[in-house]
Amino acid sequence: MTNQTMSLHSDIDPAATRRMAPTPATIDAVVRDYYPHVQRFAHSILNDPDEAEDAAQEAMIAAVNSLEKFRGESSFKTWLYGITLNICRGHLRKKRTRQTVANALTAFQLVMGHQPTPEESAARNESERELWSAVDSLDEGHRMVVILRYVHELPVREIAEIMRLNEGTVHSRLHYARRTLARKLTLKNQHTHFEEGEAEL
Amino acid sequence: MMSLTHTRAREWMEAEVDGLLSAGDRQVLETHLEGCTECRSYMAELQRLEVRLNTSLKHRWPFPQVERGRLVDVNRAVKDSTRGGQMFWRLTYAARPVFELGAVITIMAIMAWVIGSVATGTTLTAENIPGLLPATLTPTPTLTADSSAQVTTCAGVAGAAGAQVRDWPATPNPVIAVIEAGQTVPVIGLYWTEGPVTSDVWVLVSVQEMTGWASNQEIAVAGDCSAVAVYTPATLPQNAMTPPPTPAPTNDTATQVQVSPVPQATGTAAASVGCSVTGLVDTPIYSGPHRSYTVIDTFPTGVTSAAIGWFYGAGYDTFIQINWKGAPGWVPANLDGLAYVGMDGSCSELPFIAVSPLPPTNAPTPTYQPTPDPTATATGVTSLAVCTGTTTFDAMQVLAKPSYASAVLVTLRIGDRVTVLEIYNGGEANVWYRVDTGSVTGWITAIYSLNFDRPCGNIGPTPIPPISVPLDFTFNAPLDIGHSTSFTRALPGDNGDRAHVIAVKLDGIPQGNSDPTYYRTIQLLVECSGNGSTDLRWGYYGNSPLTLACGESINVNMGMGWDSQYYVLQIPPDTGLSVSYEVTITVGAYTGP
Repeated sequence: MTNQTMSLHSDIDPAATRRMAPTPATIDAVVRDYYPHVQRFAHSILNDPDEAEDAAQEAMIAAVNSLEKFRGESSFKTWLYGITLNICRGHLRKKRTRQTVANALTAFQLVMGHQPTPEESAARNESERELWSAVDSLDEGHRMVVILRYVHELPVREIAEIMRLNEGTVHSRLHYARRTLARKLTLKNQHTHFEEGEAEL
Repeated sequence: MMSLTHTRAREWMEAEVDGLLSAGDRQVLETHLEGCTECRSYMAELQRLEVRLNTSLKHRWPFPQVERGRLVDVNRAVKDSTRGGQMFWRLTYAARPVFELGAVITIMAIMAWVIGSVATGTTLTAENIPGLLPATLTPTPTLTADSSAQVTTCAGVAGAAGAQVRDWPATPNPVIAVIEAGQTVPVIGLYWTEGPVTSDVWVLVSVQEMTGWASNQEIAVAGDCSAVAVYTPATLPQNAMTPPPTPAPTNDTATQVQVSPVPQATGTAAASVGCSVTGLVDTPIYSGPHRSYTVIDTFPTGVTSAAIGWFYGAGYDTFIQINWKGAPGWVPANLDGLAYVGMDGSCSELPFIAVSPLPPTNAPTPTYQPTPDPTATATGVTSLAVCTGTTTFDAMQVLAKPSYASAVLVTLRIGDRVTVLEIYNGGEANVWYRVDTGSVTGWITAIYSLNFDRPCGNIGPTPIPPISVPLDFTFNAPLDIGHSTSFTRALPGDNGDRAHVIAVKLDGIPQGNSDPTYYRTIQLLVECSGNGSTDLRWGYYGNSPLTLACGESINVNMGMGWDSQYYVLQIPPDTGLSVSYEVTITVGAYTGP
């Protein structure tokens, strides 16, 4: 990894961003250094690797075409994730429409046994599978804050910027999501940590 | 001390794991936890859940190993999305720092003065070279032809992000030193990477007792730079460790930086890593990773060969190194937006081969004595030093006069080599090069028509000044999501005007709009009637021409940054087609509900 890569990852100096224009060199650097992050980000939101590639590419295009608008008020990565999230939301909306149609079609068919997705079979153990399943069952708003917080390790302030929420809302969504997850995991396994914690009373 | 209720304490524990609790409140919470078993259990449960979420979820979405081919595709798509606006940025962004370099202008003025004197017999100054100087720039009237004898005090100041110094003036090359923000270093030379359609400028600096190249995007040049060397690819110093001609600053604490020598293009590359390339078309094999290297053989369609390395220059082109008949050769993976070879296997493992992006030239640079062309007016013509390049269009017509309506002297194929003799500037959509094809001398459009072998003298990075464009259409398109508007136009009949610039300007969209989630799409639909080839060529302002069949449409995401878009439609010369096109512009948004 070159020094240039490292300097980009350490986030672009706001003063330097005044010079940011979609020059070929800038595009090279942004795509090379940020595309993998953006693709992973999109994958975590969309849960579909192919669609994530499409969304990530759209996000890079949208970002580069708006590069001159980036003023360094947030970090570059936060700004880029914000764009990616919006694009992913568009994809999710379309996906929901497709899913509605698909559900209507499968309603006429026999309910098949649950086939684990490749990702589910990648889970290292039953406990991990349960946790993933519990996260999936959260509604979109709560699921997103959990993913931004725990997969991408973003602080509440940056999650708020990306999702255009205030920090209090993000915190309360995280709080609610954690309570929901703890409850779901408790119901699935009677010997969870929560009960152990209760037993210490 | 139990100054908190259990409910309040839980809220604070939640805030603590989210990093939102103040130091004072944390102290109160810790005191509370010491005396509250139930709350300690709750905290322990919270922390266990934190650990589970932090570890398990990351495993679910591991960091992707993105194939290099995919990165190239994305890079291409992103650049394509902006290419239409590149003329805009060249004239606004790229030109700005260059023009700010008064020293660069000084050198250009010297060259203009010298060449202008030769060409016209009169004294040219920087101010009267069309498009060379913005009005705000201080002219340099004191220049004389022998000013190169002055002692240089030229210096570079690293920008706020510091400046990276490389052993070769190209982004992929190794960084050999970093200049701290604000630090000043002596400047020894300047270099334009390519021809007039690019604007990358590199500054050769002396740092830590060696020399290296910094991009002018990272370093500002100040002082009297009239005596610094202006390099061409032929005169570039091959060894970055050459002692600088000016005394290096003495810095006892400076650490010795190791410099990697640049391997030669013909060097032996590493063994194969399981990546292969297959010819999608009959592909030229070059001796180096640039089209100006010698073509050594042809890589036939359908043939597969192991890839042993790759090179991606500061421009657009990606080359793959293969072992061909016992010797290394380079095939283009992407050249001018066209794919030549397909890639398969673990190509992300391919080693990057740092080579000179351009071949060394040992031949002395000839000087060209331009002769005035009677077809062009004196004010619109700028003479060039010797300047060569290859064509980017197929079926490019060399015309007798700088006009699409002029007689066709000869038709060139893509990649044909020409020498540019003069530039005629008749406005942004009407700029022409007078070229020598080897058999005839005539005019070709200057709009993205050539890949230049080397910098072309005083035309510098902006050969085309921002002259008002004769627009075909101006849309007053408000920023309403879903807003769509379109127009249709028939191209002129078969009167020799076989290429057409479509200039579109969008007004009414606030350029200050900072919401990056809006986009504008331009759809171009071409309809034809009559007999003949149905494949038209089109490109963003003539660049990277692609095939567009009659009846086909293309969509271009215009983004929100640009207010003008230019396209060139080129109709094959052997056709009697009547062509019309329809342009539809739509405003959309990526935003969610």
